[in-house]
Order: sequence, then C-alpha cells, then structure tokens
Amino acid sequence: MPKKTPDPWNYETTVATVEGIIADLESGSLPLAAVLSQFEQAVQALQQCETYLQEKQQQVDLLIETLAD
Amino acid sequence: MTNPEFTVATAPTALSVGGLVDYIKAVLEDDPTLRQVWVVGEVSSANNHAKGLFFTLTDPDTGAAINAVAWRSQQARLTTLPTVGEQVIALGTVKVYPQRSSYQLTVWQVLPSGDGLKALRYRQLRQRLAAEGLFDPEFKRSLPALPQTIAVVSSPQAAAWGDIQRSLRHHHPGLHVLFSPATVQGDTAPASIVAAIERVARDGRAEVLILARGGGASEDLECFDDERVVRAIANCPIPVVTGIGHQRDESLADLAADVCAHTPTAAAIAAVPALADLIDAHHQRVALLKTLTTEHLLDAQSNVHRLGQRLLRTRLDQRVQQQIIHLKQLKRCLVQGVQVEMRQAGDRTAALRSHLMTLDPDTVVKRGYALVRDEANQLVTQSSSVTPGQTLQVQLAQGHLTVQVTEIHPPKD
Repeated sequence: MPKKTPDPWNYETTVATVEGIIADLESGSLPLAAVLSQFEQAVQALQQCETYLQEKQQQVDLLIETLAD
Repeated sequence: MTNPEFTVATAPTALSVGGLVDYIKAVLEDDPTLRQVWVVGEVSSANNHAKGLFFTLTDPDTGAAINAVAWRSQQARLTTLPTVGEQVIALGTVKVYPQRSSYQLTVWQVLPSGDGLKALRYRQLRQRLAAEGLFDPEFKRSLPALPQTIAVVSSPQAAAWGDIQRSLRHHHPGLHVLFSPATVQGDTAPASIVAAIERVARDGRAEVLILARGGGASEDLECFDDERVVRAIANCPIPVVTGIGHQRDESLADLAADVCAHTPTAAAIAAVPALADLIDAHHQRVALLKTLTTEHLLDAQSNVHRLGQRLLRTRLDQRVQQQIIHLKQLKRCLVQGVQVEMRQAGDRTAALRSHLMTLDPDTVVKRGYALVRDEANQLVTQSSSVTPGQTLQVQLAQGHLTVQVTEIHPPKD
C-alpha cells in the first residue's frame, strides 16, 4: 500500500498542540511570560484551524474520483 | 457400555426387555449427532395436540419417515409451523420412549426448507468465521478521527451511492471521495465487491472505506454473507464501515466490519466527523484559550495591585518625612547648643577679662599705689624684709624712684 504523502500541515496535530497548551494554561503552573508566548502560539495555531475549517465550509461539493482498474 | 456388541451378542444370560430398551435408549440418546441434528424433509402429516404439534417428516426420495413433536412450550420459537405438504428443515433431538419402544424427534426449530438451508449455511459459515476470529471485537479498528480521503464501494446505480454523496456533501463538504464501483446484486456481486475493495487498498489513499447498498429484500443482500466478501472486509488494510440497508439481522459483512451502520447515510456520517462539530469544537477551544489567558493576566494584574497596596501600606513617605523632621530637630538642637556654649564662653572670657583688669598692677599703680622692689627686683610687701639704709626701687604710675630706708615700722597687731 503506497504511503500517503505527508501533509505539511495537519488539522489534528494542530488541534492537539492547542489542547496541550490549554492543558498547560489550566494547570496554572506556567510563569506569566510563558503564558503569553504559549497563548500567542495557540492563537496562531487556531488561526490556521479557522482557515482550514472556513475553506472546508466554503466548499459546497465533494471531490469525487472514480477508481478504475 | 464399553463394548456393546460383545455385551449383547455374547452375554450368556438374556437381557430383560426393559434392559434392552434402556440400552437402546442410552445408545441413541447419548449419540452427539442425534442430540442436535438438522433434518430436511416433507411434512406428511401434522396433528395439533394440546401438548404439542405431532408431525411426520418424510423423505420424498426414499419414503423414509420419522415422527416428530414440537412441544407446546417450544412452538412460539419456531420460525414456521410444519404444514402438511411443505418442505421444512427441522432441528431436534432423537428421543426414545421405552413404553412403545419407539423413537421420535423432539423439535426445537423448524425453518422453511429453501430459506432454511440458506439459513443453515449462513449459520455454519458464521460459526466457522467466528471461530477464526473474524468478528472478534478486539480486532475492530477505530476510525480515523479526521480522514482526508475516504473510499466508497457501491453500485453507481444504487440509491445508496446517492444517499452517501448527499450526506457527505452536507456533513463534511470538501471531502475527497474515491468511488470504487461494484455490482452489489446477483451471482457476480461477491467477486465484484472483493475487486472493488482490493482496488481501494491498491490505490492506498483512502483512510476509511464505506461498503454500502441501499435497502432491498434479504435475497438481494446475499452477497454480504458471502465468505469472499467477509474475508475481503476483514483483510482490508483500512477500517471498513458497512451501510447495508436492511431489516433483518446483521449480515456477515456487518459483523466483520469495523463499524456497522444500518443505512448508507448512517455509514457516511459514521465515517467522517461533521464539519459543524469540528467548527463548534474549534470555537470552544478559542473561547477557552481566551478565558484562560485572560484569567492569568487578571491574576497577574491583581497580584501587582495587591503588592502595590502592600507597599503603600508601609507608608514609606511618612517615614521619610519623620526622618526629615527628626534631622531638622537635631540640627536645631545642635545650633542652639553651640550658640549657648559660645555665649557662655564669651561671658566667661568677658568676666575673666574684667577680673584681670582689676588685677593688673599697672592699673593699681595708676590709682596712686606704688610698687616697691629690692635690689634683686623682688617685690617688697613686708617691712621686716628690709633693713634701714637699704636701697629700694619705687615704681609710680609715671616713672620711678630710688629711695633709701631710714626707719622700719613693724606692723601693728
């Protein structure tokens, strides 16, 4: 089975990053400077997610390909 | 009972009838094949009795017959009631009745013959594949959380394919769908479905596969009980979701699939998450991140504020002010002290000076007194220290005299 070409950007990985940052923030153990830099990083990641979701939302049709032997 | 032939044929003593019949009963009823046996035959007679349904199963080819009974308590569970003239397939146990020395089949299940055979084959295949572990829950793969590409195996003409497209278009627009066409009805269906699944596996892009077929009578769905199809599903390198619309029990394909949805639409929805849900989750994350960061900032702010308040409470300004006043007081004391000392010293020197003035011999002499010195320049203060004729020096306010002592007058007491 040929391997899927690795995507440079992946929604799930990005979401996982954001979830990780949120967990860190929830722990309340980060110094304020780290809170701010983590926040910035999460905002960037969420922006990418937003763009991804918006693109999907704007697509009204499926990309259908029929496989033939 | 270890060697019945020997026991019966060569026993020197004859058996009682009861012993023989008991022996026959034991032989028949202990046989595992006869304890649970499927029999195909035609119902040649049927007698519905209060205790149960007594009927005769006849072999149309040989004319062989066997009596059978379905007890009242079992009748509700029978798929079909034996009716004279019908071909049936019955599951039962052979029982021996010593009183009449007869045997009969106690029936647990009766199926119509055509379907019954099929059902029997289905059951046997199901047992065999289950024993191989093809349906084991621990081998079920979980579906990818967010597949980018999915494959659909169905007939291009089937309503299922239309349903799936409609669902996906609404559920997750923009999805990449690989359609692998297959025949899903008739004798060629199993091979066609297997080929379609293998085509998807070879292509390698899809992350999940939907095998779908819309509705239909159970005969039309036979291919989903086909061993080749079931194995193709179990061996598929990516998770398989079945959406085989049907009313009856699950097909073997459903059992082998990683997820079994009952309709093509349900399969489509199961295969990919709803975009709307993703968007919701995204918004929740955005809000949570905002809240958390704001909380942190507010905490930090209130901390700074609290520290400021504490700093203010220490009233440093007041203490500085107090120190300044204290210093001023010290300075004033110092100046005052010095001034007093100076004045006192001044007064003292003035007093000394005036005192000294009064003691100055010149001053005394000026007032008309005279100083008398002898030759040795020593002051003469007593008449006894001089002798008559001695020369003395007398100092006046202006100039001095040299005098000679002519007479000495000792002091009067």
